[in-house]
Amino acid sequence: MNPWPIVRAFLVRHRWAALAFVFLVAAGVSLAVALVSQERALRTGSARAADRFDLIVAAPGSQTDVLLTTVFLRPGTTKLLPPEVTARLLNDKRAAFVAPIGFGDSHRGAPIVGTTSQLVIHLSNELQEGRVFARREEAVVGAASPMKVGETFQPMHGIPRDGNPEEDTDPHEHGAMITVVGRMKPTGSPWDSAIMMPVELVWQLHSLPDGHEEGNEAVGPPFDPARTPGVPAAVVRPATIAAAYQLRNAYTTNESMAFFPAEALTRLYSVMGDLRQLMSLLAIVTQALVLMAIVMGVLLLFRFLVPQLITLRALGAPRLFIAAIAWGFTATLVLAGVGLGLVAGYGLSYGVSQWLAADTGVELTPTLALSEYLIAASILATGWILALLPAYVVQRRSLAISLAES
Amino acid sequence: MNPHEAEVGLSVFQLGVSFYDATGDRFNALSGITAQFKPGQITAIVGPSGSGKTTLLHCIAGILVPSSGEIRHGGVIVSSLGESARDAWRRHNCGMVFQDFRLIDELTVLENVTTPALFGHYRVPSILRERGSTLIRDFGLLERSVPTSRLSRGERQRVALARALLMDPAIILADEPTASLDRANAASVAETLEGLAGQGKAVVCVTHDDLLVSRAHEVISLKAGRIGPPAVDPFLGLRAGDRA
Ligand SMILES: Nc1ncnc2c1ncn2[C@@H]1O[C@H](COP(=O)(O)OP(=O)(O)OP(=O)(O)O)[C@@H](O)[C@H]1O
Ligand SMILES: [Mg+2]
Repeated sequence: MNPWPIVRAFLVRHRWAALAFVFLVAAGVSLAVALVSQERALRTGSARAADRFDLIVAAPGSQTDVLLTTVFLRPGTTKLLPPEVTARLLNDKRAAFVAPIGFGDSHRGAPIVGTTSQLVIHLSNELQEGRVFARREEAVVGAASPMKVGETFQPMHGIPRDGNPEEDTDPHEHGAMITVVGRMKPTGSPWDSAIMMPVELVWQLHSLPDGHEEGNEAVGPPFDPARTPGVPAAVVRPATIAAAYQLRNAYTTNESMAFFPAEALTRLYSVMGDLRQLMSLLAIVTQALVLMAIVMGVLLLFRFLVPQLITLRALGAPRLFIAAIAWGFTATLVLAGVGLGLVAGYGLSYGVSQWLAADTGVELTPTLALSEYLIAASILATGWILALLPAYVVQRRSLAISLAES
Repeated sequence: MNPHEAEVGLSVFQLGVSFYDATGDRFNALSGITAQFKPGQITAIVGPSGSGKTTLLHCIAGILVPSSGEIRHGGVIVSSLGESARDAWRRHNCGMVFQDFRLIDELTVLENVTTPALFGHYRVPSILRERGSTLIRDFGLLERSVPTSRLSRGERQRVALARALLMDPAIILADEPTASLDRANAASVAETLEGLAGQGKAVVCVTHDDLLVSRAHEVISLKAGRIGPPAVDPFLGLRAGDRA
């Protein structure tokens, strides 16, 4: 007993109806799969981007805002740390290094970040090309920057929206001519498309004290406490784990806040937990829709199938054979739909990731993990169980009545 | 009825079939049918349209369960078997040709003819496949790889015949097997059925076809669900009224 030749003939002859059914199932499965896969990609992608920022110190306020401006380089206004706190922080001996961050300039839409070479080396884990900046008119670009080592440019004040300088309220070029001397390795964060320069130059261009004695053109630490301006944030690399907690406590005051980005992200995700629940609700709804589509589709397709099944029984086919054909037909379609849905779901997740990455600079690598396979498997299992229903009904009907009716 | 005779062949005894319509009114499609369908003989069932010929054939096949009376085959009371057992009995003993052919339109000619082989085998055995090809050729058909929905009526009728013969059944139940055929093809089908009877098979044909009736060893004439007077008068031939 082998129902497959007949199932196959049916699928081939009614291919358009069958294909429509498969696409319907695939659409539902891919949505559910993409939703779950994308959610995880976002979570791991943002965690990876924040991974090397050990501790951030900024003026008291929203950790999320600071996270967005510092790690994800989203334009935004942050209050400055008072100069005394900055000065104390920059010379704190419990840290392996403290890197002040200065924002506000750009070149051709790419943000310029003023910082120290220590942070550049730390984030990039050694450079991909060239060397770190050693003088004020030198810069290191992110891995994804179109600029080449050796290229020169003039930084622009302000960060144009959508990379269009015309829209900026007060676009003007600073006088300085900067040379690119190195390129970072990919970090998976928006820093990949940024330009890193000595923070001293940013301060200087903004007519602030530049952290060193007047006339001293040095870059990087040690900074002169008397000539340190306030900064929007500083990235701290604690010397030890114990120091990490000491530093966090020391700078959690009325004047400053200190936090671990990883922890802030976790808190952000738990806030987004509601969103996740909404997404899983959506996933369940799409799955329910898929199953309804299966039932409807099967009912429609069985209009073609039933007369032939009756013929087979009239010829003496065992009922199990009839049930096997009916089940095999639906089961094959569901299997094809779920398989296609998994592939399409990954494709969809990949597409959304590409689009989000282009928009935010956060590298997202969507994967299909156990939960997606479980979703697909549960739809498959439910579909296969539902397919038993028409199979059971078809073989159970009285042959005399069916034959008279078809 | 001679019990010994009943053991050997196929017979129906006091068969009655009633249908009930939506208002619950009873309609007797067949009543009091007693007949024997002996191996080695062609039995023709004749009668006007609606007289119950197809109903009788389906009863014999175990597709319909009679409301009264019984159907016996070699010691088996077919009419009291359960539905699955009747399916199995039909599968092993009957070759069916339906009035509306009931081919599986999605399948090709050869696939249709070899369908009954799938019921008991994982794959159509090559010997049955060859037998199918031979039958197709014998009925003057081409083994074309097109769905049978594309074939002409007469071609489809012959495919249905070939399918009925594939498993070499002991009983052949054919509903109007020559209705859609030209004289030459009808004659060849009649010859084939005669040959099968010659091999000892019980051949039962519902027919309006004089050619087939003339070759029958036995003629059962139905009229409004009852067996009427003998349809064949040795001097006058087939009665015009029974030809419908
Ligand atoms: N399932 C059924 N339900 C109700 N009435 C039925 C059913 N099957 C057959 N009948 C009735 O029984 C009678 C006999 O039908 P049957 O099909 O046996 O006729 P027939 O002799 O084969 O006619 P034809 O020569 O037109 O094929 C008809 O009046 C038909 O309407
Ligand atoms: Mg009929």
